[in-house]
Amino acid sequence: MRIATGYAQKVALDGITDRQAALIKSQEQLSSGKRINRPSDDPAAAAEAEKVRSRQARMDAEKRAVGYAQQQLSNADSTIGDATSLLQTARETLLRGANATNNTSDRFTLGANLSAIREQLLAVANRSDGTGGFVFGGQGATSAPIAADGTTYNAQPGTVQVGQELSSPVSLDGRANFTASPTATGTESIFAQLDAAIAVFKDPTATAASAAAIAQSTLGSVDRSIDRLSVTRAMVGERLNAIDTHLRDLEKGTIDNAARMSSLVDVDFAAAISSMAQNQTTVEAALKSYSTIARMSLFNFL
Amino acid sequence: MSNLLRIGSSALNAASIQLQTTGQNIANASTPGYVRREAMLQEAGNNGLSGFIGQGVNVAQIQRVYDEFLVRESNANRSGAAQDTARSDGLNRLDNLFGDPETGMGAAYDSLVSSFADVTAHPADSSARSAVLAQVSAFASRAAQIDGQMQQLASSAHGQMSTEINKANDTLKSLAALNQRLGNAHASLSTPNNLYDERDKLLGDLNAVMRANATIGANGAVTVASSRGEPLVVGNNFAQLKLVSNELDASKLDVQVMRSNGTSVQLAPSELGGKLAGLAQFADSDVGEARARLGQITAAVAISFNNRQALGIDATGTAGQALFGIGSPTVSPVAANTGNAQITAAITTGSALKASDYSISFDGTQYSLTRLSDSNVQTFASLPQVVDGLTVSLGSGTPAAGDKFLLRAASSYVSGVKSMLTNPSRLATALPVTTVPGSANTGDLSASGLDISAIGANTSQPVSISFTGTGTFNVTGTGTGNPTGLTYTPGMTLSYNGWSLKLSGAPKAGDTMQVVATVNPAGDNRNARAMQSLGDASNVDGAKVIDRYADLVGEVGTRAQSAKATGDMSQRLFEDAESARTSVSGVNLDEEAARMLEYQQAYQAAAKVIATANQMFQSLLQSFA
Repeated sequence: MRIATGYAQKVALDGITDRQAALIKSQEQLSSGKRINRPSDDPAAAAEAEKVRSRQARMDAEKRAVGYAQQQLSNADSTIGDATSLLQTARETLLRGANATNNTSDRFTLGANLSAIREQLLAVANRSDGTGGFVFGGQGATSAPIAADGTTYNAQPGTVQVGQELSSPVSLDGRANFTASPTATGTESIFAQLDAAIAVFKDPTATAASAAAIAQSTLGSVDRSIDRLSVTRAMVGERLNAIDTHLRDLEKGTIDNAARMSSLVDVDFAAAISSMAQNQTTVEAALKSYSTIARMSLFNFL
Repeated sequence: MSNLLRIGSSALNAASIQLQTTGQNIANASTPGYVRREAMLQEAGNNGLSGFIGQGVNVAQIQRVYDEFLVRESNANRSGAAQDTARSDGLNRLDNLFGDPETGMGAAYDSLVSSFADVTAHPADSSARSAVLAQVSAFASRAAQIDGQMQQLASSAHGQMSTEINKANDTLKSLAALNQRLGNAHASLSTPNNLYDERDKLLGDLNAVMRANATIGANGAVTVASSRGEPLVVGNNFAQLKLVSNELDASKLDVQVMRSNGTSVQLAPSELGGKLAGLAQFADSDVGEARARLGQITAAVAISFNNRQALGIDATGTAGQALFGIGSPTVSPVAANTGNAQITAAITTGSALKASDYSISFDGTQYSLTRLSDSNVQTFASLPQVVDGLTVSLGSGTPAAGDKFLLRAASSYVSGVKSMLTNPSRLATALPVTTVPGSANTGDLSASGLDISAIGANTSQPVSISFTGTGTFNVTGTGTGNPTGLTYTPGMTLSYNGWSLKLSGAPKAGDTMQVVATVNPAGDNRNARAMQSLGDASNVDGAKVIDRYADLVGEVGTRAQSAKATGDMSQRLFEDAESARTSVSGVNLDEEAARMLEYQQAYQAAAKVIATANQMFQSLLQSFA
């Protein structure tokens, strides 16, 4: 077959350009570290990568939300612990108050102690969650949820929940735990119960018997309150465990996702380097053969 | 002797012409369109003797070496390659728009969903609320930006079409002028090889722009027609092409032929071929479909979040205002309509929208609505109708038979996408009502799944559900009608005033459940959680947002990839055809060098013949001395 010199040169040059384009492409993969630099590099993988990236974004959001719940619940756990130890102290104080040998002055001192405990308990029950809310804020409260009287709940009872896959409370119900705790016969406020005891203890006209009686009945309330808080604390602990498991799952999911993403879009360096070397050799061969062949002409021998 | 002299000089002349031809071939070795030439020799006639000697050699003609079939083949493949390459180049640029997943629409959407997750944890924190509004704005501007870039690609392709049309028009004009010159040349009995070369080159140029069939006439003049036979050049008459807006969709371009008699005819896209067809396909079909998909996703996202926002209340307790603005569908009548009907369209259900525009036609009794993406046709005897999440109504006037309208749906949504809220407290993170169980309940009655279907006048009115026994209850509150003696079954759903909830547990007589206005909407995250959960809801025509977006990315990638493969393939076919054509018609310098030697020797030999004749003559003269 005849070869047209001009056309042969053009084809040879086109060939070199193609080889160079392939070389640039492997260089691009190596410098970006990505096998896919645009969807056409692997449409199916590019589409799946979008889904994987999205799944990761959801997991990251879930991790933040659940991590927040973990922090809130840990805070709640120690708050319950503080409330419980205050109630234990109140219990001891009441036990001493139940002693009929106490004189007025003894009872007054006990009343003052109880009063201090009650103030501390109110402060603990109204403890801030550190992010603008309250541990016992129910379904959201902007000011201290439990009023100074200890019976009015300034929030809506219930809890605030976060998380999509694992729903988790980030607040506790102050009404059920403090201001209107259910009892067998109705509801009671631990603060109102303490107030009643304090009033009798501090009353110089009260009798030792009436003081002992109120101490006994308030002891019952304190015990119920300790029980209720321990039930709440158990729920918090359970939730914290579930959160731990969920966070571990999310962590594992993140690792799996990263591996999947990497296998979809990341370049296999060994393969890319070898393909780059191969392309480099091809370009060199094309250039060399071109310069040899292009130089060959019968005119050189005339 | 005089005959020998004549023979010698004719040979000298022939060799000289052959050398000149070779020189011309060498000179034009890289001239585009040049077809190599050969001096065709022919023995000169009888000198009158009974035995034939001949009178030397004549140069019969300077012949172009070419194969008409290979030329035609090359032109056909040239238009195929030009078409596929133009489309592939366009798709390559479209592909690059979706190149970085971290800055794409999918990532913008995920950031939006994540910002809702963050605000569920900190509803009262105005920076978390601001972050949501910032993501709303980022999503809207990302959509607008990608759509704008796609429109830019389409308009750049339309610009290229205009340039190509100008080239084609110049070529058609030149071909007609060339026909005239060819006629003149033939009249003067010459063989205008240069004009033939020019003619073939012009035909090649024309085929790069659009597919054109050429018929070479007796005098070398060419008749050119479109692939379906519309005449473009006949003799020295030529037609011109022009770009016109599509009758139905003015954003698309059609190619028309203006005949020399002043009338016009439209060339179907399939009839075009060449670079024009590739560019039109890219601008109107590839970009159009990608834009429609983006429009569908954007509208579905905007509407689903707006709808959810409308079911909540903001930090001030006001019902949520729209988060997103979105472009409305428009309906435009075709200029040729004889009726005066104005048709209108509005989005009814964002999640049912398709990635398509529609054409509407009226045949006198029925309306036909054609979905342009898949040519699905639905007919209706009257309007309004709800189709694919759109309500199509007759706004005013009366249509006449044959009237047509374009319903610009998916292509119009992104144009109006924007963020509507600037005040973070306007984010409706809260639900308007909250359930509160009676504090003195003795059973374990609980309410769950509280949701809002629509905020009405009575939605926030307090409603009390009080149990008169373990299995019966009364409902009291404005808007409920205060029903009494309702039967309780665990898990039952109760709906009043636009809210609904599920009651469960074993209540005792005297137990209550109150549904009351939310006291602290600024700290309530329930609606924000609902918005977060929209993230993976199937709210784009039955699929998740991210799946639809991944489909779009995959589709663009697949098209770019297959267009590249097709482009490479047709380029290779063209190269093969060119290789075959040039192997006949192209200049091979080594061959010309060898020919030059050959003709040089022939020239020297002819000169020797003349010298011999001269010596013979001298010898004869000396014999007389």
